[in-house]
Amino acid sequence: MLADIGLMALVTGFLLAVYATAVSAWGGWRNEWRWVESARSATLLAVPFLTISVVVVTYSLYTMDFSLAYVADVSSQAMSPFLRLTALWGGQSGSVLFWAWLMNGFVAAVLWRKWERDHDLMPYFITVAMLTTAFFIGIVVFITNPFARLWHVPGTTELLTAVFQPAGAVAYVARDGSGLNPLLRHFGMIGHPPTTYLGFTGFVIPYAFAISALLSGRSRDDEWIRTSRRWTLVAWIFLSIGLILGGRWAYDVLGWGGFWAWDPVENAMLMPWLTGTAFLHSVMMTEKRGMLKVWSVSLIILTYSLSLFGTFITRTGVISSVHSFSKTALGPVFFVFIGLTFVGSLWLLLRRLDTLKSEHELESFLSRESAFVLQNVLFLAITFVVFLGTVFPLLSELVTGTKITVGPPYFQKATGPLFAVLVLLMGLAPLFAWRKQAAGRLGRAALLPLVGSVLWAAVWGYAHRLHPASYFALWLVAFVVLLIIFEFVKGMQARMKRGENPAAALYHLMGRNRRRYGGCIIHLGVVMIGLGFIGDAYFQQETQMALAQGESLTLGEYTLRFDNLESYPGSDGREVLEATTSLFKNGEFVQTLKPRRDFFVVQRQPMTIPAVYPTPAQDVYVLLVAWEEIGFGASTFRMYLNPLISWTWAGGFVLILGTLVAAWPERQHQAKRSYVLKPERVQPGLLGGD
Amino acid sequence: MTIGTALIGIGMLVLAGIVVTQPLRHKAALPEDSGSSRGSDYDAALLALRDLEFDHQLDVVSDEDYARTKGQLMTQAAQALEQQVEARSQLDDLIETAVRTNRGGTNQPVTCQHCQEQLAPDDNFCPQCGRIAEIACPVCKQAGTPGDNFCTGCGTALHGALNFASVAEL
Amino acid sequence: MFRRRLLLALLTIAASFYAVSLVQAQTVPTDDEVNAIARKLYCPVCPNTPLDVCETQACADWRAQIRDQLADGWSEEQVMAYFVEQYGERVLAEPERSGFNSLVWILPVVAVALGLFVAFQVLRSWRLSDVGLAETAVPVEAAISPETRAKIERELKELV
Repeated sequence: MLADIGLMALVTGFLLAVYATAVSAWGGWRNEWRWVESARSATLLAVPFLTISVVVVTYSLYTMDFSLAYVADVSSQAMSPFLRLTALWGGQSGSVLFWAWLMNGFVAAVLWRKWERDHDLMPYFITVAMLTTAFFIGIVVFITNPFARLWHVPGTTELLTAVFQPAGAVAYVARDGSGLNPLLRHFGMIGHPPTTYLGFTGFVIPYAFAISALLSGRSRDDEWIRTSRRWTLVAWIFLSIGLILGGRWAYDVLGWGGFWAWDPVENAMLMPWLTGTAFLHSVMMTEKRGMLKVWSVSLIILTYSLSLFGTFITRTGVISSVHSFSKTALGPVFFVFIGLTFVGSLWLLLRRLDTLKSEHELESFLSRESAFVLQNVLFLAITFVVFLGTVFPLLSELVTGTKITVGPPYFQKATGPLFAVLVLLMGLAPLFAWRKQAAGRLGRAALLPLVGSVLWAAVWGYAHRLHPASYFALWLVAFVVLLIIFEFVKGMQARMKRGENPAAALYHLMGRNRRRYGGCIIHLGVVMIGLGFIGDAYFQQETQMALAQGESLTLGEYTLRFDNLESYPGSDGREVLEATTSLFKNGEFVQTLKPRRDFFVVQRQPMTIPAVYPTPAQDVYVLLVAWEEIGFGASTFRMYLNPLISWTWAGGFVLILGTLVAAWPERQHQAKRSYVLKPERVQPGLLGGD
Repeated sequence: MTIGTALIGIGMLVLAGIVVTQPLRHKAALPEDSGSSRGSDYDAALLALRDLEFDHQLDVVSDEDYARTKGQLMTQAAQALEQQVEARSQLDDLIETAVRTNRGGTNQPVTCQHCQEQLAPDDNFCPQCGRIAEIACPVCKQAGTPGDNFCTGCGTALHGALNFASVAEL
Repeated sequence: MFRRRLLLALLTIAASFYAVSLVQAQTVPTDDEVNAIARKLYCPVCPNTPLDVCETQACADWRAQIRDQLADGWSEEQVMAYFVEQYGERVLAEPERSGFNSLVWILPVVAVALGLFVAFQVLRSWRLSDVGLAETAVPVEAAISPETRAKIERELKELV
């Protein structure tokens, strides 16, 4: 009964999305506004219907209605109520439904208020955005329906999955579900998937604006670029949070001592983030200098296509094996959709090139413009390397017939130098002026941070002298951090000359230049995240040893003593084997650490849960690797020292803070200007005199 | 699927149909363009000037580059501003003409009742004869004060006093 | 079930150690030495998992095999070559730099070079010619009326 209501709400939502797409296109073509309004109503109304659908799926997961195939697949009696709720995005049907719902929500948010402001673009905007939404809802309805039931044909051993009763079959209700993939049974599941999805789906808004500007021929106007930029920032920050939470989840659950493994699924998230970041920068040049218009539009198209590609990789598992591609209809359908989106958008862009005339004048190669262009080249190059590394196993399998692995060493070697130049540029860019920059002045401005950072890196690097490259990496970080601090100090000094006290100067400086200083804070956050990567790449130490009870193992200044091992049944259907160990630093007791090995009985899957002792300088990360079955007499432990990792998580918070500063609406100065009323405001109707 | 759930499904579709066709039942005019968020060339020039000032304060830009670029941007801003003003005055003319046609306004100057000197709207005393300023409507000779926008007798719009701001306030 | 298999495996490993140590009387390789090699290999059965951290029984066996080989005096290269021969090139974390697979190393370099070249060309086309530069060098402010200038300056001050 309940599932039927969910199904009907889903179908109604689908019909509304299709209706909105068709009717807004019609209204835009015939220039009839009431059709556009009708499309808007349909878009807004689809939200509550999809919400009903999502609520019904969630409720069925919570109450374990095992007559539904999806529920039987990802929920189980052994799972805690919290995990049963997160199972909404734990499997394919639920996550695609969740995705469609979020996307619909984004489109509705744009149409909710002040939507008439861009009324030239709106018909096309609704068409493009709702076409995509309808596609995703369509996948949920026709290909991977969460309301599909399990059926059993008497006399056979197989179970069928279908929405409606197949001929001769009887309904089948499983006694228990198989439950979520054990790796997903973690508290981080509450944050990582929804934020990532918000990031992915959010990119549909700037994309739809760009396409509608091209379609309506209004791309000459710059207003849509501003709107796109704001929405890109929303999607971008969610994707950033999703990436960081994903890293944290991997660090806490996967038990390999790191947080970023260059896995295809991680890369799929990283690529739209990279091109989205490139867009956020190139659009600054478009806004301030009227440059790079075609490029900015291309970047939006690329970002959106890559976020679709990301979903494609995640949901079809095509990278881990070509053969999973055509197991369901999802792979081919998705592939065609991405192809059409990408090729269609580029074709449209080429047709409308003439409307995107940019103004270009540059006085010198040494200028902020050049820095921006170089930065964009680097972002694209990194995206290319990541893309190549991600799809290469597939290419290799197609061409040579043997599958190869492209692992972290490749990605580190290939992207490392590019990231290094990018970080350097990040610190230097604010020192460049638009149009032209005198080299001498640049040198003088960078001199003090340069000297300071060399000294800093010499001392710091000596502490990590195991790897010579660390000197360079640490110098880079120190240099950029000092440049950013100097940027703030110089700005404050300029204001303090006018008699403001330091606190007021800082406040006003940031208040009046939110985007500039918000950007600086974001850069600081990125450098902090980079520190974690440097620590991971260069300074990680590890050792592994079998210990009898009471024996200990030493790594650096830390000593780990094995005290006890016990086994007990845990929650969510797992058998827990937990070791008790004591951590000593230079002989002094610090903390008790309890690394675990969980074994999921039903799935027959082990999971290594590390015990972590975090400090700002380094994390002590302990894994229980093996143990003696009888008497628990001796166990093997693996101990990592992960320097600087805490900075990555702290950097995430700084990144969010900076984005908030940059995105906070600036105070409106417009009211004070000399031309409060603009000619556009007055419509011909007023002059007609009725 | 029972009759009850089928009814609920039909109900959903009917509800959706009603809501969606609602805008179709009246003829919607194209929405008015508020224009409030549209950037202009003047805005762009002003923001560029602001960035330049800032870069100069932070010593990123040298004094001569600053002076030169500022000159260019000031020229751009001034041109944009003049365009704005011109567009506005064109609009003012348009509106004045429109109002005058509607209200039967007059182009004749508003003059002092006593000495025929032309009076401005904010004159309290006639600059020629020094008496308290009183005007006579050029059309019906009804007396009034120079600040009147319309004649109190015949409703004719007086002297070009109808400025743009007052129209917008109406 | 799992435990019994594990026990069996552990016993096997223990037995093989014993045998090896009897025959060769050589020092047993430490876990760290085994992991140093295992890190450069990928689990042949699990997708995208380095051999040193893989949790499955098969991988534990493979690590034990590396230990045996080291104990027999194999070099790192020999162990790696053995695994490539047994399970294919996919066990290497880093693709080999030969044949078709060398493309994965070459293409990024080509892409960066191409990107920089295009960017340079674009910037060069944007750069004003010397004539244009000479034009912009002359201040053209004189034409602005004092009122307009005052107005702009005032509104600029509100912004800063």
